[in-house]
Amino acid sequence: MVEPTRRAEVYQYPDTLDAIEECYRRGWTDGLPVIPPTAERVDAMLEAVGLSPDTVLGEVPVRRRTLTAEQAAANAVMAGCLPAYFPIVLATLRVLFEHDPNCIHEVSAVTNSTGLLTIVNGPIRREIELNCTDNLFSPGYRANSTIGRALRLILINVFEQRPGVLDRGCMGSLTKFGVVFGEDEENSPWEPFHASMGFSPEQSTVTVATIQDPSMHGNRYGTTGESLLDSIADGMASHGLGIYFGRGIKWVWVVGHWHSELLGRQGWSRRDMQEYLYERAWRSTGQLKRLGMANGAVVEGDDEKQQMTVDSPDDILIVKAGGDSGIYSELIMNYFGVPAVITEITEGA
Amino acid sequence: MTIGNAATVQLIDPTGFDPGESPLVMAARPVDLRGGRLGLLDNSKANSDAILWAIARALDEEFEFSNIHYVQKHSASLPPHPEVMADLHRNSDFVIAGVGD
Repeated sequence: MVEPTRRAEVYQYPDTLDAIEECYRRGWTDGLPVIPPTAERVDAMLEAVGLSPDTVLGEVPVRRRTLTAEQAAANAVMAGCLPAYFPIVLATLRVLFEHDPNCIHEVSAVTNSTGLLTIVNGPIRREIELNCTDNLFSPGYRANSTIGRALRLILINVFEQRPGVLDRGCMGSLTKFGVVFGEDEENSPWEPFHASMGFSPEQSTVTVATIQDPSMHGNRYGTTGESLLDSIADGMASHGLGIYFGRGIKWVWVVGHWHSELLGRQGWSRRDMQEYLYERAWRSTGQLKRLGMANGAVVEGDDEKQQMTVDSPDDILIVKAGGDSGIYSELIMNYFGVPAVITEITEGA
Repeated sequence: MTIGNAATVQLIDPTGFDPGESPLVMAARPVDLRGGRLGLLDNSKANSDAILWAIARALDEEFEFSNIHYVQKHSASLPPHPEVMADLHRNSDFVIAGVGD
């Protein structure tokens, strides 16, 4: 039996700032100030999804840790989430637990620094004012910033993913502050991403992946879809981004506004683009060995062997998002852990 | 809520804890390595096998193991599959786990 979640001690404070300092003293933060997780705030978070405090959301066996709804809610409060955001936090966690609970350990045990990506589709984006356009990956939007932060605080506080302790990231990653955005469905030439995966446009979904640092791609002068796609394939096969070739790795291409406009105008479908990229995003075994991306000496025939960046065109996810102020896209490499899984947001429904 | 004359706030503890369902117990320490069965657990990182085998050979010269049993994890960052652990238990008296890169 899992014991009911403990509630922290009652202590005296002269003002709220002192409560924030207490959170620092207890090691409950990501380095930035947090909202004190008072009982009232945590209860409001739980009420939004109809969960009792001691509901067990999942367990990470290798860490010998369980996550209760109350712990998740307390961390969501600390991150600055509104209760309406909590279903997205919970749906993301559900993906992790259903895929493999130990993946929560995996993504911090690796020296490769890995963050969590949550892409949101469907009506909930508008209901919570989730940013889908300008400055997509920037700070400035409460929903985007705090949902991702809540997930990170849960990883730190519940699963002990503290830097230098059980989070063994070598270079670290800005993605550990959280990467959450919505698809710009309303301005896309293609059907919504979740609809392409078999969901109804009226359903709200999260697509969850463990990721490397995103990279911006600025093909500004190409006038054909082929030019744009060639530049994206080049990015996928680059030394810096393509840490792994194949091996179940997926890629997310976040197609910026003007790139999607060009592709839509020229009649490129998602499937066309997936197949085009798949065929061109590769390097030879010889190149990978010379660049230190594969082990061993170059042997005869290595320069003729193709190493594809993905195993299949299906492993290239294409979503439309970002602003219309410039001509850019973003590439994100999935990393071992969670291989871009989509699920409906059922929490709080 | 107040304690004495001061206002207070009650914070919900956001941290995780071990539910304590299966206490960890240390295995008995081997009294002597001589003639024993050495297990090698390779975490699948590049060159991990080279390091482990180099250590095993050096130790074998001194302790003359009756057997050296080598197994590999499927992932460097995930626990071994249960059958790999069971195999290691069956065939080893002590184990060296290594990391290479």
